[in-house]
Amino acid sequence: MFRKVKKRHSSSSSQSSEISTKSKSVDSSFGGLSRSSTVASLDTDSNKSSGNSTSETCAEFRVKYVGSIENLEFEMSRSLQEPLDLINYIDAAQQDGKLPFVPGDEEMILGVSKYGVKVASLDQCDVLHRHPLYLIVRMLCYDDGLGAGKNLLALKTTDAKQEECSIWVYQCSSSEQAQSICRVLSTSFDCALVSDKS
Amino acid sequence: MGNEDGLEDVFVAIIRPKNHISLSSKEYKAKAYEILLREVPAEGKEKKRKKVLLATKIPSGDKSKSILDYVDETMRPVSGPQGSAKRVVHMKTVPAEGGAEAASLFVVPVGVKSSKPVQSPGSPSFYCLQDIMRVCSDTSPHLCPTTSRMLLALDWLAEQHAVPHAIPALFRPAPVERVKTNVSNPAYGGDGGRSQEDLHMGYTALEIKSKMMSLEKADICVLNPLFGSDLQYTNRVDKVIINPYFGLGAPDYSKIQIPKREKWQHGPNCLAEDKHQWVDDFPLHRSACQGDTELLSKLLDGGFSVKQLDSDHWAPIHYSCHGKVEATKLLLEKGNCNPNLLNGQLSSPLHFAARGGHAQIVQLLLQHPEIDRQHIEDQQKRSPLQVCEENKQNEWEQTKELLQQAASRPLQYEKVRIYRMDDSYRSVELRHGNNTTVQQIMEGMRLSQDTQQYFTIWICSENLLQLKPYHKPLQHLRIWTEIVTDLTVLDPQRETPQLFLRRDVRLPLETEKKFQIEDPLAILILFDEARHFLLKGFFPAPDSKLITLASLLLQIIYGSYESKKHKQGFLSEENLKSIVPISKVKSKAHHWTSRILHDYKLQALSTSEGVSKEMHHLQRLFLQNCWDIPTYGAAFFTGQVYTKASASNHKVIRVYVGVNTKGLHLMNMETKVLLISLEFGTFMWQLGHADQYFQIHSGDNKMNIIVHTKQAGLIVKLLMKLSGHGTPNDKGAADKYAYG
Repeated sequence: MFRKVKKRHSSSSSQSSEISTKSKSVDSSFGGLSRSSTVASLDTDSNKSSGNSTSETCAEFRVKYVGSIENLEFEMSRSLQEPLDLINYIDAAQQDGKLPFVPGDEEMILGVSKYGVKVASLDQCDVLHRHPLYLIVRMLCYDDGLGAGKNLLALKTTDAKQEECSIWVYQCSSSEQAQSICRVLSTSFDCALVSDKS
Repeated sequence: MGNEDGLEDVFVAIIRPKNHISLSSKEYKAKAYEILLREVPAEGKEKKRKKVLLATKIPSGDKSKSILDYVDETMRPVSGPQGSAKRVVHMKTVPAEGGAEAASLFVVPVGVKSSKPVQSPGSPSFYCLQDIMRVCSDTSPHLCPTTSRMLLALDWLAEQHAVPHAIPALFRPAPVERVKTNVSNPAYGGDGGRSQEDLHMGYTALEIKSKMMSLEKADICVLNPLFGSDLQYTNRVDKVIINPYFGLGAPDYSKIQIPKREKWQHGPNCLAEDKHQWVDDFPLHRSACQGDTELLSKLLDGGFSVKQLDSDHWAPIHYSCHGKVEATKLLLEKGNCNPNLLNGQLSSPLHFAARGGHAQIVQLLLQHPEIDRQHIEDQQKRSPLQVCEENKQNEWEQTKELLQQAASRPLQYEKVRIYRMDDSYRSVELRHGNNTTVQQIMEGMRLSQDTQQYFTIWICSENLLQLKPYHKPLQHLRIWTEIVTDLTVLDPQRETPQLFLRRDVRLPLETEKKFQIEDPLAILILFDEARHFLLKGFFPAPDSKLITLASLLLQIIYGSYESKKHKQGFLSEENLKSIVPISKVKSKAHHWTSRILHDYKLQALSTSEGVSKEMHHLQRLFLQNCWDIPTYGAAFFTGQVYTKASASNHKVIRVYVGVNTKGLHLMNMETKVLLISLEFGTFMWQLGHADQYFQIHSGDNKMNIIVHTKQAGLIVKLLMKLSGHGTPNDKGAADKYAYG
């Protein structure tokens, strides 16, 4: 899939066509998935965003915000390198009351593009978080284990000097949604590489 | 002891719920849990056994992993692989005390017990937590003291029950069972130990990161210039159209007919068509709007009027003021456009330029000699400065400065000279520039209220034209040539207009008589005017009257009679010109000299007998003598009368048409002979075709006269006004000046 993206890109010069290539590849990546609510929600979301602007392709998802642990020291960030460590750490933080088990009721829009991840209010007026692509270290999707089948999305970011790290936790509406967010981000990483800029 | 080899003593409380239901219970029941304990022989007593917590020594470092490994190993014989440990929760650390090592307690939750418990001797087994806790004390014979102390810390479980989700979370599956997707950024190659050769899509981690960072740089940055400017968002309604038929019920559709297409009118709301129409209908407006100076200049040459209003009641200059400097200049200079021209919504060009913050245009307008920069306000009573500050567009700061400068500049109003009949004048400041009205000028004359009522401003050249109080004399002066062409047959070039302060034609003689005018100034002005008319021959009167007036003038001019000074030869022709009508000087005056001097002498005698010799009394005496002259106080117009001198040829007589509160008077223009004098009520008049003549019909002597004059319309209007003057109520009515 990535190869295809790259190839297509080499023939296109403008940014917008490159992004459209990207969004195509995102679509095609759902081929394997059952076309359930995930795809539908992604479709409507991207329709909405394409109406807003032509130069920016951004997949949008409705999520809820659980909480964050910010500015962890570098030593700690080293010990959180493995995905399971990260989950363990979040679990422990929840148990200690540093992080809630469940999110608040308010829904947010989580947008994933080649510029990174942006979390905004439903009306898109207030941007809560913005995680530039180059500072995103990892995104994990996992079951919260509380029995209701809820899926959490853990985002580990660092700062520009790589001295600290932060962990951001969102709750997805479904397992499919969580996994498609991961897929879009994965594609975004690749898109950033084939970008002509710089 | 333990610390010497780098190992740490840990106690491990392996806890499992008896069944799944206990996980969702909000109430803590110790009996819902089981704890794994090991039985060891009690010290000294072979038979007695005590239960102890699992304990081990682990290396420092990743404690959780070491403990989990230990628990897995210990548990395998008890519950098989399915009940593996999920996580390690650090409970408390007991400090070193009484020879005992510092030790930590960790809770390791494990899954619900499997269906068939496996028992193997020597291995630890699960006990009901409730049973254990019941016997838990330092001196318990069943438990080892350290274990007891550690177990007391398990009250923590009760606390956890109070926290929503905490208990299910404690026993939830291990992360490895829950993780679904992991996406890692290729820019962060794991632990950093990844080698440079480890490429992702042909890039090293560093390259990837720099590529991603470059995405953070913006190509274009657009700042909202209005951000933070405090600009008020106004949502003003431009137009409201209300359906006039609303609420009248359903119409009778059978009676509604669709008009023919040709009769369709372009309503103001069919915009698209309107726009197109506008472009065709108002080329001057469009060229001003677009700043097309070439076309604009051509159109101005072609005679398009800068005053023409379009369908929105805007003149071309209102369009050009939206940033078209050259076009505005052209309209003002070449088009001679009034810089104060208001549009239908009462906005001036200065308002438009100020609103748009077009500093150059504002300057252009402010430099215009006729600009009204003090008093102009739009419909919302806002000055250009206010409008500028409200909108803050373009170079609004500069514009604001210009407007403030203009406002603070000492008021150097343009002045206009208001002449009196003796050629003296008073300069009046035009506080409203070009828009100053007659009334405002009158106020500027600083006459007393009493005096004011007798006079008004006339604009005069060879013709007279009284102005309505709301007329703007300056604008009339500008277009005087047009007016002259419209109303007379004279050469407009020779007519230079001036503004005069003169007797108001609609002032009834009775009023002048009744109120004893005591204001010397008012008398002086009236006197000067009467004398002017007398000497010009506009007061046709019997010789005796003229002689009396002449003698009065003598006294006014030369003072009281003195026999030594004022002899027969004193009245030279030159002197006579200043006391006798010009028409009489040549023909009769020298026959009158002795009679004039005689009267003069008599007056000197009479006045010496107590009659005041004060100037204004003499002047008033003069006026009193004028009052019975039929044409006193009349406004004069010019015209022509055709008479039949014989059957074959017409004779054209040029006449003055005098109209005053008494009636209508026709006077021969050359001889100044009064041809006819008709009082109101004795004659009828009719305005002729195209205002080119009027007809007088007198019932008494069955006389019909047709006077041809371009001023017929004015004359008839004035006649109508003054004929109704008999009723005193009419005086002072709002529209009393309604002619001119």
